[in-house]
Amino acid sequence: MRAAALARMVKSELVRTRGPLVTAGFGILVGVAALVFFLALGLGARRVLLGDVFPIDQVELEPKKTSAGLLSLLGGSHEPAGIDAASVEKLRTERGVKEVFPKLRFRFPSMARGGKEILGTEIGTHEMVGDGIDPALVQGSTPPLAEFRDPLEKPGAECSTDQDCTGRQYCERPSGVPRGQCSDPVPALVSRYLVELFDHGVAPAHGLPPVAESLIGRAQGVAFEMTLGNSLLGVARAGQPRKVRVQVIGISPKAIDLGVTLPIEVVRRWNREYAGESAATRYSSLVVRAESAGVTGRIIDTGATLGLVPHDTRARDVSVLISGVLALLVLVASVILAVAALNIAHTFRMLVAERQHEIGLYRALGASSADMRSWLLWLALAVGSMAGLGGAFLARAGAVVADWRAGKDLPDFPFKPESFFVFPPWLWLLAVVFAAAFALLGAIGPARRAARTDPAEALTRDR
Amino acid sequence: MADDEPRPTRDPLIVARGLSRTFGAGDASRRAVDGVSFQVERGEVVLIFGPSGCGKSTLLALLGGLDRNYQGGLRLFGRDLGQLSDRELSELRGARIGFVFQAFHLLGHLTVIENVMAPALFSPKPSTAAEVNARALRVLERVGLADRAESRPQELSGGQRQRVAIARALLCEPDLLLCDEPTGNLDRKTGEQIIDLFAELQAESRATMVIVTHEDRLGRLADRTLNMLDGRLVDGVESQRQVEDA
Repeated sequence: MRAAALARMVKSELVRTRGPLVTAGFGILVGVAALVFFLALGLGARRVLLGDVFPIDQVELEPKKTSAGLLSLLGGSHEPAGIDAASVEKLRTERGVKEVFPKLRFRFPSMARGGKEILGTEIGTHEMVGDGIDPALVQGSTPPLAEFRDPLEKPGAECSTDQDCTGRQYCERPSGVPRGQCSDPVPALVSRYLVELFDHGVAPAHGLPPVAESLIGRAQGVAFEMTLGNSLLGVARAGQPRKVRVQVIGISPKAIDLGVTLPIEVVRRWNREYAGESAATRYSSLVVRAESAGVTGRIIDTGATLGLVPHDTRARDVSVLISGVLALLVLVASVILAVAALNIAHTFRMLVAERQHEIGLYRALGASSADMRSWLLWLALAVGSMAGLGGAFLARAGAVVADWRAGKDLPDFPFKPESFFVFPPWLWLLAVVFAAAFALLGAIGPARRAARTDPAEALTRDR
Repeated sequence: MADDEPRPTRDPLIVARGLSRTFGAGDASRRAVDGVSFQVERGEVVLIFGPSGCGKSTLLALLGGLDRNYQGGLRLFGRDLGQLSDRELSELRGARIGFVFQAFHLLGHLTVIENVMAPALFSPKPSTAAEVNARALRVLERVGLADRAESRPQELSGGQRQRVAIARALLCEPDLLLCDEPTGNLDRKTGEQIIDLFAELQAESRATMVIVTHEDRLGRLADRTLNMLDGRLVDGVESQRQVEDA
């Protein structure tokens, strides 16, 4: 049978049997709606938890903590273990590794004070921690407010003090050097976790306004002054304490949880100044970005051969938890779909039983048994596809309502997303394909029965 | 050569040799068609005459390829039906065979013209919807029902319904028309009109027709009559009397 004729027959049957078909398709619609709703919710949870909170497609490797600590206790070197360039290169060439970004922790004491622009008063910390990352790690994700790079890539005029510099610039003059260079404030990134902690913990305790992401953007960044080489706990072993200007340019998931994250070359320079060459060249950790979440396990294994361990395994734990819950919900939706497929099977069985004369007639008019099978299977495909699309739209509508209710009724909490759901294009496609597949599953038996209909017997049977 | 064996001709349309059809198995088995042999020439009108239940409708279903569970040999248009795949046989049916049934078998959810156009759905010949529509109107006009094209079959009389069924059978201009008790559900007057229509159609197209009936009034259409009794073809005056008595 030609495609156009088949389409005409299916369309005609859809109109003619719309009542029973709508009833049969309703089960599929509900099942798909449940499936899509749960999957979209799972994807939404993954996006927030594994995208923002615990990224799963990357792993941060650091030296085993015990080695440095034990050596210290035994009176060995105070130099913490670091990762050398050879280990970085080995990981870069590992199969499944997309990129490797070294990190350098602050290896000098520091403190900070600032924030008057948006808080109305100066706040500070007597112990400032931080790290340096490759700007490429946050490329495309930092706000356009300022570039996240070493400001000395474009140095200003020579200087001895900050008074020699203009505007917001300060004099970047390392210890023991008579003249430095004017520099823009060092760009810094902070974590969302830190902002949430400040907004929901520190700010209420001190009667300060919250500094939400949007506020940071509006205020052209929170500027503060950082003292290098000195803190409440003591001074650095080398170098002279001095002050630098830092400006928070945005919030990034790549930033250290508690502290500030600066361009790596800035930290390398400061580490060298206050802690020596080794502190400038041996990395504190490596962020390894995998080609897919599936290869992170192998990357961790390779890291272990280099004496490196994951900084945080919560990502994998959360991933397993989400996958487990999601699998359970998908199972529930699949049961609904299986019941719906039985409903389709029942409807189509009835349809075939009622249409025996008609099928016999069609066979007499030139239809083959394959034509009859195709007719019913395409009918099921049409019913399933429409029900699938309807189910996907129902799930989308349910998600909109759920988000609206959550926005209205749920209290503000850290990492609370604007939407709890993600509906990628493939999910819509999956809804249609799944629904069509289950409808087909239900229709296979009746379609085979239709194909086996004996035309001579069907045409002579009493109606 | 025995009387019931087919006589060799130049181009027979149907050749049946020892054709049998058995229903059931074991002691409960019943031979509806029992070793039937005959042939039908092109353009010939053959009447298969016999009482109800003698197996003539079963024989017609075999000839039309609707029933393939037969024993013996059956050739149609020079092709061995037993050797054809389901698709090949269906295409053959759609392109070259038209059926007219006693019960009309019109589809109530379709209009008259849609019923007539139904065979085009399965026709292997590609045609546009407009072409099929025009052809359907032509055949409806030929059977005198062009003005009822948009009616539903339920709105027509028995005779009109049979005309629609005939129009449907004629849509694809078949070489062979198989008619199963075409006047069986009609009163005498309407039946005569249908017989007249068959006569006219045959004169116009010289289509081959095989008509099974238990009504002798169709005899005037036939070039040849085959008498059937208890699944067998019987010949001669004596046999004719047996058939009529039965």
